[in-house]
Amino acid sequence: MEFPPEGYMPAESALPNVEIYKPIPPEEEERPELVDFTCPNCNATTAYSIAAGGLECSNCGYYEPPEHTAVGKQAEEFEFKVEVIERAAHGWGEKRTDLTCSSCQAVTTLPHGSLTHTCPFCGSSAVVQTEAKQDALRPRFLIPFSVEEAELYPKVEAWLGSSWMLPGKLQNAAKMGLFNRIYLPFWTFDSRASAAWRAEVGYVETERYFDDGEWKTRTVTKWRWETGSVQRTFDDYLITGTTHVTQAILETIRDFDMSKLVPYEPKYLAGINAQAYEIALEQAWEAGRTAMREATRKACEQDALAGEADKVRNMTVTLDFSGESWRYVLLPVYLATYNYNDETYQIVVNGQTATIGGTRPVDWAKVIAVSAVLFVPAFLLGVIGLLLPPLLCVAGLAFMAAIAGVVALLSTAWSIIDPAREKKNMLEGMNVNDVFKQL
Amino acid sequence: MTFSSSYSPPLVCEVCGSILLLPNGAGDRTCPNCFRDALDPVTQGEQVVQGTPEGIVPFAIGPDEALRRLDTFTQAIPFRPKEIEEGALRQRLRQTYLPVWLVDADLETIWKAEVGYHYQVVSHKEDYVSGAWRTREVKETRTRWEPRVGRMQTRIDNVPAPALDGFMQLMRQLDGFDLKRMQPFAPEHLNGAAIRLAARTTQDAWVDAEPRVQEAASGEVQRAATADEIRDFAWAQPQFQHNWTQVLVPVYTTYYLDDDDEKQVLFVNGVTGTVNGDRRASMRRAQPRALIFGGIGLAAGAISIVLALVLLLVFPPAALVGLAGLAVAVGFGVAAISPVVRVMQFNNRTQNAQVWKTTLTKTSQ
Repeated sequence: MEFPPEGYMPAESALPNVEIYKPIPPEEEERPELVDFTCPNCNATTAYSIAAGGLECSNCGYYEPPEHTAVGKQAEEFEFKVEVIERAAHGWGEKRTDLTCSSCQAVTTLPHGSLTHTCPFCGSSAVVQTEAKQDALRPRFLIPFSVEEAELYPKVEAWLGSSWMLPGKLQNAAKMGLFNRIYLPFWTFDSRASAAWRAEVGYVETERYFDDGEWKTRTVTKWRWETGSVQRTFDDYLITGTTHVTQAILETIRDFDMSKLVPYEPKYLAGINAQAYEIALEQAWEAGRTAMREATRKACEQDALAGEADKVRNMTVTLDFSGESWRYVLLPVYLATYNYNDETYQIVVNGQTATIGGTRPVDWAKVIAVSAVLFVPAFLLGVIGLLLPPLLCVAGLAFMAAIAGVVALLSTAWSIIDPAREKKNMLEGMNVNDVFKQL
Repeated sequence: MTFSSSYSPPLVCEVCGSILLLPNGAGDRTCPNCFRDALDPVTQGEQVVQGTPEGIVPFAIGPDEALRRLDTFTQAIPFRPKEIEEGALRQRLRQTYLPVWLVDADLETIWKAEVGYHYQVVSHKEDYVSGAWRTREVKETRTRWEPRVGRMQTRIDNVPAPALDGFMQLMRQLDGFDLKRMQPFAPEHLNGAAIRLAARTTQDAWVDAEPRVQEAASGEVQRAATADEIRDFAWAQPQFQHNWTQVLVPVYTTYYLDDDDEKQVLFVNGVTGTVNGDRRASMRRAQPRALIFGGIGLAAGAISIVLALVLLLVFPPAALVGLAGLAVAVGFGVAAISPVVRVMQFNNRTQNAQVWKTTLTKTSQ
């Protein structure tokens, strides 16, 4: 019998009479601490090419493919233990430059030697360049860019003209800045939530009763205490690691296909900006748990209402999280700012799916005009109703319909303008806790 | 086999199969294992396992302490058999030495196993009460398993192996014998106690000892790997060199008669004082109390009915007194059933408890 078996190496033994062998760990790639993206043919600087899916030299055409293929959902997940965080690799694996924006305080890391002097988040040129710190946790996986910048302009133009509430010809009037390719930090969380609930469940019934010499019917709710249990599995629940694009905006572009995750290699970042996480793991997990437990509580309510139940009250839930794990990933995003009427607005585009989110101005004159159009007939009908009392009822209905229409209009306008208000907060330096409250 | 000239030649119990030596001049000539009077000299056809004890664990507790432990043990019996109350256990208490094999194994083997290292993770439990969540952080210990192979050359000492059938079970039930108290065998230690002779050869005993040697080897690997746990330990072609030692360990035995006049033997560990054996409640002692309560109940019931009927005719509202009497009668009825039920429940429960006597009798017969 061959001993030690193939694939084993000596391990430390605390007793001299016991020899121990352990499996040889998979070969660690001998990667230099800092990678230099210089073309081996012509010494020009290479950069990541979206079309080619690898490192390319624009000078001589040299191409270098990524070393790893997609691992997708098989990408390693980590448990919530301190040792893992301590053992995890740190830094970017290449020399990079930190660009700190004096306006919005965002810190972006750039390829070394980049000539960029504009903040990708707010478009400000009041920036300070310093050498990037190498002590932050290194991302383990990322989704490479798969949308070319050229594809974005027509789509963004269409997006800027996609609502009548937007200023006319916004797509022409908006002074678009260049799109910045940037990898934004995200945390993904997996967990199983096992919940046991207890609540008073109400069943609405119609009953007949005799009163005042006649039979009448009435609706009553019969309450009874019930219990149940709900299991929910959360897979790759995304929480942003940046405070400079709000969760509300990122929600609109979160349709990332996580099956395209690849192991992190510095070459994916060649020529592309990136941001290290600003929201630490514990904070992000707290936000993730908050969202997960609310989703589980709603599932408990639905469970209680299953069958013939109509109402639920006094619900208590006991929830156990298990199998919790996390990943720190970089996801591809295009950021651009544009100016309209001396105001700066932000556009965020999913670098994998081209889904667009962001802030847009609302043309209040149009909104007020349409509201007026809705109110005028109602006002006229009201006057007629006062003159001809039989039509008063119709006038009242028309008036209420007009109010409902205006409320719907304002609500739609608010959904467009709301991110803009968030952006204003962002520029003033947003509190991380506010981001969580928005969840 | 001669321990001393003061002992009888080997005797065999025709009931439980024990082979033993009794001190010459012992007044009680019954078997100290089953207390039957069925001891005969061993004939040539009956096989006696050869071997002289090299060690002995002397009695550490005296008969008085053993009886105190027995008294505590039997206090838990409801309606204890009359014999116990009358001190039968004291009169029948016997000192016996039981044989056990100890094997020292020089081992050389290749092994494989999975070793486990503990680590802690932070998890959360949440409570939703009155519209708000309360979060509790909990730390869970998990085990990271890693495969290991290796080679070891070691000596594993004093692994006990049964010299009597069912002995390991008795050893567990009596909380084991502290083998650290073992002394070299000397006839003076016997002090008139009966001696059971080994019924199993070292080859037979090795079948029981080998898993324990493997367990000890596995423990050594765990210590070598500084692991918190170990599992799936297996060895390939282990080479052994055995050294067998026979050791005598001390027990007290005694018995009481149950309702069916069956002898219920009790064992007391001569080192630790742990007691084991069948505890049987006495229905005979429960019945008088049941009858007294039952009689009172019946009488109270009859008087209450008569009283109720009379009062119904004389002054109907006073018939309630009769009804109250009936309620008292029912109470006495329930009290009458209670001792019987208690005895039945206790005996059913203890019948399922495994005691050595049962196993030994089965394997010996």
